[in-house]
Amino acid sequence: MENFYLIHFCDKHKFRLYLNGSNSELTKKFTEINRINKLTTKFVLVIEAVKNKISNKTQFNWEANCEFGEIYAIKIDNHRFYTLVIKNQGYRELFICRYGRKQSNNNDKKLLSIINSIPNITIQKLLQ
Amino acid sequence: MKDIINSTQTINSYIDKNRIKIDEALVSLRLMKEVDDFLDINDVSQRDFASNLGYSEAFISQLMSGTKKFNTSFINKLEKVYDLKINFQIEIKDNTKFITKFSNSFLEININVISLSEVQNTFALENNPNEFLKSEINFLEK
Repeated sequence: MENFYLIHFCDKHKFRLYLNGSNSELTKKFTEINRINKLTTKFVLVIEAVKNKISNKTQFNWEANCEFGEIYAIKIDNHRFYTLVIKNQGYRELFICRYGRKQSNNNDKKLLSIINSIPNITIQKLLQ
Repeated sequence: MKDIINSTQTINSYIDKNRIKIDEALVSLRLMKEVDDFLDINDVSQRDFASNLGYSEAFISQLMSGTKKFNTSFINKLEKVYDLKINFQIEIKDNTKFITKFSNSFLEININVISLSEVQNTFALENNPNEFLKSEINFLEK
C-alpha cells in the first residue's frame, strides 16, 4: 500500500491532486523542482492547464490506459511525473505515482516498466 | 512527510501569489491547446511547425508549456502559413439566468430547449445569453 497526500484541490473545477509519499525518488524530485522557481512555474502551469482542461501534449501526455483510469506524464523539462488520472464522484483525481526521466534510446525499457508498475499500486489516500 | 508539506505549501502559495500571471498564461494556453489539436489532426510535428513559421523549436515548446505567450505576429504567421482563420468570440462565461423585458413583441420559444418562467412581462431564461441575443437579432431581422 502506498500513501498519497492531497497536495492541491479545487472544488470549482472538481479537481484533486495527490502525491505519492511512499516513493522516495518521486518525493525527492518533487521537492527538488519546488525549490527552483522556474520549474515550480512550469509545474503549476501544467496543473492549472489540466484543471481548466486546456493542457497540451507538451505539458501532459497520455501514456497508457489501465483498469482504474489513464496514465499521463506531467512533463517539466526532462522530468516526467507519471500520473494516474481517475474519475471519482464527478471529481478528476490525479495521483502522481512515479518519477522518470525523458524517454531516450537508453532508458525506454525503464520508462515502460515504470508505467506498467502503476496499475499495481494500492492507493491509500491521506488528507494532509 | 515534512518535504511534502513544504512542497504543498510552495505550490499553493505560488498559485495565490501569481494568480494574475498564471491566468495570463492560461489565456495563451487556450490557443495553444487548439494549435496542439491542429498539429495532431494534420500530423505536423512541432519541429516542422516551428520551421514553417520561422520560429525555433524551443520557442514553440515555450509557447506550449505556457512560459511564453503568443502574440499577434504568431497568429498572423499561423493563419498565413496554414491558410487558416483564427476566430475570436466574446462569450459570457456564466450561464446563469438572463432577464429581459419585452413590450409589444412576440417571441416564440421552444420550451423543450430552455426553461421559461413568466412573471408579468419579465422572462427568465436559463440558457446562454449569447444564444438568446442571436435569436433576438434573427427575430428583429425578420
